[in-house]
Amino acid sequence: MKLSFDIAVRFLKSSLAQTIIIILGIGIGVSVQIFIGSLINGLQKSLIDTTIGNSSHITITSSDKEALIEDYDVLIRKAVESDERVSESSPAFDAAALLEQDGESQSLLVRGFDMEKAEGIYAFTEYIIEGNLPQNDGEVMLGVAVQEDFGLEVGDELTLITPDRRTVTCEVSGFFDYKVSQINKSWCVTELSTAQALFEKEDVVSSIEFQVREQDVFAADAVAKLVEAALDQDNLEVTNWKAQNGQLLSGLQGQSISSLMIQVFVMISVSLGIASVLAITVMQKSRQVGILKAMGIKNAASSLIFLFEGLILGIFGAATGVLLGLGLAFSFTKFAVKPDGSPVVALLIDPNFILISGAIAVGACILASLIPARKSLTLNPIDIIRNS
Amino acid sequence: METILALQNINKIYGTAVKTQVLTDVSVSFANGSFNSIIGQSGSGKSTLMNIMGTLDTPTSGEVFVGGVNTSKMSASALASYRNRTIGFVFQFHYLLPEFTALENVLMPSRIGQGGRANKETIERAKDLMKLVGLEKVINNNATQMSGGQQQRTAIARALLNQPKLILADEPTGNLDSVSTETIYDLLRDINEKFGTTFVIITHDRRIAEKADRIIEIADGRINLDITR
Repeated sequence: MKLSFDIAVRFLKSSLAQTIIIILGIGIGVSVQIFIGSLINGLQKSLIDTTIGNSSHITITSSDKEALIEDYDVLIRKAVESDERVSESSPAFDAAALLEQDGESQSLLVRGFDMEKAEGIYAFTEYIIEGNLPQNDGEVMLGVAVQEDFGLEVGDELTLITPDRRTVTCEVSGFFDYKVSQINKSWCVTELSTAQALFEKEDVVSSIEFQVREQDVFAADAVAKLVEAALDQDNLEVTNWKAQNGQLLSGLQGQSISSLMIQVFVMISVSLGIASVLAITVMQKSRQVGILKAMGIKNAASSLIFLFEGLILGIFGAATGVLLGLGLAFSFTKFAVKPDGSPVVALLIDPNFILISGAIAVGACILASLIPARKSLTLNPIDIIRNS
Repeated sequence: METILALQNINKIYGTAVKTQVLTDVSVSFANGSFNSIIGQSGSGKSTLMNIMGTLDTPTSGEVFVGGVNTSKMSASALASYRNRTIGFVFQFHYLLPEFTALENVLMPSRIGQGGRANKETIERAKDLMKLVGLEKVINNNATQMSGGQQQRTAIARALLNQPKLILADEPTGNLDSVSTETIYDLLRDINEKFGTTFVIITHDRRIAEKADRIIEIADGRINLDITR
């Protein structure tokens, strides 16, 4: 082993320029893989964040559309305990109301949350652009579109007409901007108790919303099934974001598959390159291998020389690739930026992904070196001696 | 005297479609500690004979016994170990590894035998051998940074390292000038006397061959002449 390793090192050192070129070749392949992988992972993450990052992943509603949910605290506890992947939860009371202000009117979706709990899902504090969260009874928070349409300010009084034609008043505590016009135009966010009081429905909610941990976003359907089983109530319906966003899901899957395909083909081309270069190395070193065999080196040991060459090239190539890939990613986030200075696509640098990419490159190099290793088996010292 | 190497009814035929018989029914044996030369014209089959003696090549028929062991029944791996321990080769083209220094080249047979690093004792022996062949000043030179004579002497030191019973040399001075040729032969002779190593030297130089204890002439793949002095 030691001898084969030493010979491999000497062979690589003796043609240093060639060795460096091979290492660079592997490195560039690995760096492309790491860069593309991080880019696509970053794209996916930002896409998921913007589309479902601040929304319910799993929602419990009543099977009967008109009915409301009672004893929701018990249900929340059961659901949270059903699977450790359930990370956030909040009861929600949703109802439509008509906003009437200075002779103009617009329908709103009044959404009453347990604000403290709902912060975990909706991150209101991040999107609030003016004023505060609704903390006191009768306070509501509106979208920036409503603010603009009605010329509202923090502290203004609002008149809402409920579906049963009652007129109620509330006070504007703040405005939010979710960067989604539908939400900015229609949501009227308030404390659960305020919403329940406005619509005169005490101790009931219209839905219970949950989020799963970030890394388990794609397991929402499986978690939803566990939640449903834990609740074990026929009058409740448990839905999940995957079931409701088929198109988004297939888009994400398509992106994942194309990213994987690119990475696989980059790796295949790198492996083929290494295999062909190493095969040439055997030809270059056939004289040496012949001499070693005449001196009594065994076939296994002579093959090991080329496997070690593959391993060494793989390790150095992967290390170069990781450095190049990270460098590329770093410069991408520094130079490909939006006017506000933030990167066009926030790359997702995942150490595990980088480790796996490196390991795959090393594995591919060893696999590629099997070809020259096998070729060296067939080298007969007599052919070398006779042909010189 | 004890026989170190014996060939029995060796035939070697090359080719399948067009068959060329290179050796015909050659039987010969060599005594332990003897200094032998094999002469013959180009194409007479002397190199093929040496390769068969050294187990690098296999005869089409016939048997080779080295130290009383029939080599035809050994596996490739066993043969490699056996060759490493028992036989030293010196070829016309020195066949040093250009990636290694002179000393590392000399140490190679020991490292192959032990599969790893050479121990202190072996390194000392290698240095002594290099001194013996007059290379003490170039031990750390790369194989490519030496003259032809120095390279050939390195190859001789390498062949001697594992203290083999038998050294097979194929035109060891074929590429050297007459002064170097003389020096190398004197060296081989000294080693033969000092260590009792058996030498079989192939040469086309009759003047050199005549310095050996025994001269075997090969012509057309047969032993034509066998003189012991």
